[in-house]
Formats: sequence, structure tokens, C-alpha cells
Amino acid sequence: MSHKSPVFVLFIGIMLLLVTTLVGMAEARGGRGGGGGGFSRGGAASGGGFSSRPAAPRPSPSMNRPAGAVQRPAGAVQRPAGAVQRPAQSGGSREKAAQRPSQGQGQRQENAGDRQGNRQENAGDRQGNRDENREDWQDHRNDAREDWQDFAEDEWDNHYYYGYGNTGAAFVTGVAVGAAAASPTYITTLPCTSTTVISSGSTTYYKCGTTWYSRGYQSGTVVYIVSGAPSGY
Amino acid sequence: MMKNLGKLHGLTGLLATIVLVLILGITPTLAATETSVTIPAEQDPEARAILVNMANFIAKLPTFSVTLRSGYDAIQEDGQYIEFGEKRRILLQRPDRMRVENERSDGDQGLVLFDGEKITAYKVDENVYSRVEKVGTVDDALVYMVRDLQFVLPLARLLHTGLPHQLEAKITAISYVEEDLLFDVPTDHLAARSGDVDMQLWVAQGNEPLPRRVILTYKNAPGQPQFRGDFTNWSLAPEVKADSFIFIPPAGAEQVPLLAPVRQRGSLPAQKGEE
Repeated sequence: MSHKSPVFVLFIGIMLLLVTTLVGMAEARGGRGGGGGGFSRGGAASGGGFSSRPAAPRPSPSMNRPAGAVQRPAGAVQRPAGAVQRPAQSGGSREKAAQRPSQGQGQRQENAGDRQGNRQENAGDRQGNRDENREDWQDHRNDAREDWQDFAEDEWDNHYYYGYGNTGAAFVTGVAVGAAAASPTYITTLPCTSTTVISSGSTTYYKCGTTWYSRGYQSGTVVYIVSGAPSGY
Repeated sequence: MMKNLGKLHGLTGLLATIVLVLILGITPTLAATETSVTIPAEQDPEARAILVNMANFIAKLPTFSVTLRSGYDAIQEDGQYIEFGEKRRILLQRPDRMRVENERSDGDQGLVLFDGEKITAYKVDENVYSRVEKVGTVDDALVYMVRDLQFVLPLARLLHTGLPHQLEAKITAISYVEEDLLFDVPTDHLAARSGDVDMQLWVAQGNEPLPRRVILTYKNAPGQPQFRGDFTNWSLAPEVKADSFIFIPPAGAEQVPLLAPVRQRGSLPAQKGEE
């Protein structure tokens, strides 16, 4: 036994290495998805556009807001501070009025008129500030939209690309066109092979683990949208 | 004597080494100086005229059909280049009708229809279709599909009536390469450049200056992949059937939501106030 062990150990080692390598290769192929044989179909040239620009990594949409847009509300938040301070003057007037309970009706009416005037003035100021803030924000949004339109009108056939193409493994958030502000999460390849297909009404559902999916269309491909369970499940 | 000779050899060797180092050091400097010279962009008037003539001709066609057989480089994570192919049969009737049948090299088939009021996209294998309202012209639909919905419609600009203006705006340099006699008709081989794409174009000579071949090189993208397309079966009076632009869902077809990818704003040029 002992005289065989070096050869035996070497043989076992080689076999283990071979098996590990083959399993690794298989996993690598299976994991990439996309085109036939595990090759990715994506990339900068897949869209055939006359312009090309790489996309940023896929953060959440809210993280992609232009920095200017994020900074702008800070100014809008600061502006109302003046309006917030103004009611203090109104409060002061009220205190002043409260200190004159013994004064006559005419005085009270005068005070009431002052307070009403102050409130209207303050309300007018606040409204002015809000309008100004809204106009600033609107101006900014219009500027940003015009920038975007200038860019997009010129580069409208620019297909954004994401590194080495879709792997089919990542969940992505999209926008359901025509729906009321729905932002479904979808995946290009179902994450499991054994799926339960349920046709409920006119919608087909697939189940992976505890998650249900329905189908959608995006950029020439059928995608799987994370959805609620069909009725009765 | 021998000792002095040895010293002389030593000095000669040292001198030679110094000269060699100086030469090697100076040469790259000279080369760098040469490459830093700005070469004026090539503007061949003849080539530009051919390009503009082609663009104007296509933009004014009321109806046409053509087959686009294309391929593109998909660069894998390990750097290997794989070409995937596609074939599209395009039928366009201005101002507001378009039909594009497409087939990928793996057999995947699809259809995109525009009838002036809505866009319908159908996937044959899955028997699913999506539909979205879009009232307007083919131009409107093209921009909406490619820019907003991110539909894959290669060389979509060639179908847009704004092609002449758009090419004029984008092309920064253009040259005439040669007269190419390997197509069924003689063609003019042009080489044009824009900010991020180099383009080669083969345009048929004669009364119908239609593109026969296009190669796009995405020179700023990693690996500089290419898109290659061959146009065949051009018809300027194609048969348009009554149902060419109407989608009748096949039995069992499921209508599914149309999703648009969230546009990656981070990839845009700097917005005002960002710098």
C-alpha cells in the first residue's frame, strides 16, 4: 500500500484538478448566458448606431439624477427660511394684540385689521417665495430638459451599452411604457430551470422559488418581470 | 600595451553605450513631437458630394424596401471577438408606415410595425407582442423607438428624412478611398469620421446612389468593435400588401407590457452647473 501511494496520490490529484477545471468551465459558460454557447451578444456595436457612448454602471435611477438637479433643491430649501421667519412677526403682532385686552372694540378691530393685514402680507410673501422657488426649479428642469433634448436629438441612435453585454443575471428596473408610472423590476433570463407555468387569463406566469414572474418586451427581447402571484396562488 | 588597449576598448564601449542611450532617448521624443502635430481633417469635396447625394436620394424616396444583412463584434470578457449576425427586411412607406422583419443568427425572429398611430413589436418564438401608441411620421417613430424605447434597429438614421442634415452635422472628415468593382454595380468607397464612430460606406454609382455596404467602427469603445452591414434587394417600387402594416395577433399570442430601460443619465455630457 505504502509503495503505491505517491502514484496514487498524484493520479487522484490530477483527476481532482481536471474535474474542478471542467466544472468551473461549465459554470462559467452557464453563468454568462446571452448568446449561444454562453457568449454574450451585447456590446457597443450591437445597436449599429452612428453614434456611441458608454453607459454608466447600473445604479438605481434615482442615483442617476444629474448632480445639478440634486444640488438645486438645497437652494429651494434655504429660500423658504425667510418665509418661515416671517410668521414670527405675525406672532409678535398677535402677542402685542393679546396684551391689549382692556382696549376698546375699535382698538380690537384695528388690531384685528392689522393682524389680517399681516397674515395677508405674510401669505403673500410666502406665496411669492414659493412661486420664486417653483420658477427656479422649473427653470432648472427646463434647462436640464433642453440640454438633454439637444443631446438626444443629435445622438438619438446612440445605443447605450453596458460593458460586455447583458449577462441575464442582474435584475434591472425599467419603465412600463403607457402604464401609470410603473417601474417594474425585470430579468432577461429566468434564474431557475424548473419553472411552474401558470396561464391565468391572458397572462402567463412563471415561478422560481417563491418569486413569480410575468413576461414583458424590452429592446427586442422577452424579459421576465417580477410580479405578484396569480389569483388563487 | 594590452592593458591600455583594454582601457581603450572599455572607453569605446562606454561611448557607444552613451550614444545608443541618447539615440534611444531622443527617438521617442522626436516621434512624440511628430505625432503631436495636428493633422487637418480630410475634407474631400468629391467624397462629401457623393455622401450628400446618397443621403438626399434616400431621404426623398416615398417608398422602398431593402434587406440588411449585418454582423457585429461582441467582445467577450476574456477579450475574444465573436461576430453575431442579423438579417432585416425593411419596408418603408413615407410618411407614416414601416415594417421591419428581423431574424438573428440563432434563429430568433421578430417583427416591428408602425402604422402612423401605434408601434407593435412581436416575438415569434415566444408568441408575445407589445403595443404602444405613437401618432406621427416614420421619423417620429424611429426616434421614439431607438432613443426612448432602445429598440435595436441598426442604421436607423438611413431611414430618417433628416439623414442629409444629420450626416453633415456629424461627419468631421471624409475621404474617397477607391472605386470598388466587386459589387453588382460599381460603387464609390468612402471613409468618413465622426467624433466617436469611423464609417466606411460603399455607394452605388449611377442614377440610384444607394448604399451597398457600411462598416462602423466604434473607436472610443473598449476594443473598438465594428458593425458591418450589407444592403441587398433594394426596391424603390416594392409590393405593398393591404396588411403589410397591420398586425393581427396569431392564435394564442399574449400581449405583454413594453418596457423601456431606464436611461443612464450618468453617461450624458455634463449638464449645466455640473462642472
